[in-house]
Amino acid sequence: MTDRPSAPVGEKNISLFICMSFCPSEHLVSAISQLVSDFCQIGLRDLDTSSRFHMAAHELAENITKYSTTSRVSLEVELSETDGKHVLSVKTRNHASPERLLEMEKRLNELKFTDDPVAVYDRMIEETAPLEGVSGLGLARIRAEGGLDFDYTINGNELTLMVHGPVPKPAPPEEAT
Amino acid sequence: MTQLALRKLSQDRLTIEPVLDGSTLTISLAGTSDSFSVKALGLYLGEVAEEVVRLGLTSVAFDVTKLGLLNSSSLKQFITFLRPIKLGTLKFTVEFLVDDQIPWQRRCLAALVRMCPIDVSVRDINGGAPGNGSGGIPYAMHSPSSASLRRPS
Repeated sequence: MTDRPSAPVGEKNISLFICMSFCPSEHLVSAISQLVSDFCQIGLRDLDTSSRFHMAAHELAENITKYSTTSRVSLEVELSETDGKHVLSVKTRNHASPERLLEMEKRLNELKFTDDPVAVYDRMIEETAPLEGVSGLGLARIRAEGGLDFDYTINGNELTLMVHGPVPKPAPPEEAT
Repeated sequence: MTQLALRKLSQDRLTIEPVLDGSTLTISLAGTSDSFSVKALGLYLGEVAEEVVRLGLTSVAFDVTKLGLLNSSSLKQFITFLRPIKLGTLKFTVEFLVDDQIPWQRRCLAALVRMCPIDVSVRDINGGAPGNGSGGIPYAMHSPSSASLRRPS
């Protein structure tokens, strides 16, 4: 992580960017989310923040693995600063079936615009509790438990989903001993 | 002496170990609970419910202090486990033992406390207040956190 001078007003200064493009595999999910968590801990030295993004990255990586209709998905992590405010984001891209995209759009819209994500999460728990083999809670969990925000775009059959949240100022790099 | 029918289970990177001490049944979970262990976790929780009934226990504790991750499918298994308690068809209380130095544990389980506020609680093994398991207010990511990593002095 570099210790750069502040960017001009309104300009986004990206201090770290990671992009992983891979063939969806359940075996990669934990490794990817652990990488995001380690990155947060090293860069921010804040266990609370890194645990929120660890959970978010795991849920997102599971989702793209489970629902991708192609053999290529991607997950990006970006730490940026705009006007002194630091933001960490995790962005995923995958193709999905039209039915899945419709369902996702409905769910994401509700989660994105709700004033009470915890109430939405609790309602989803209530609704899905009788259903066997279906969780359907990952996105709501990211919003309610993780306290993170969503942005998304659907272009054809491709879903781009970004989860982001404010983070503390990155810690200066430690000197090697 | 009462014979516990539950056994230690290892599935992928999740280990579940039961201990019966008098009338106190504690189930310890360690490792990672993800898609590779979710089915085994669900089956195990079903056996825990049967065992609580068979032994006539009034409570069960889950020690998650050594757990590194609980994905939403695993959380769903706990929701399924707690549902009969919420519906009143099973009557026992559930306590989750967490380590408040690991912030996600209380935060994650807060949803289960909200689901069954009377019968489910969360307690810090370091002696912190039991409380409702709220796990902090979402969006408080800038607030000073006792769990923040500190540089060695």
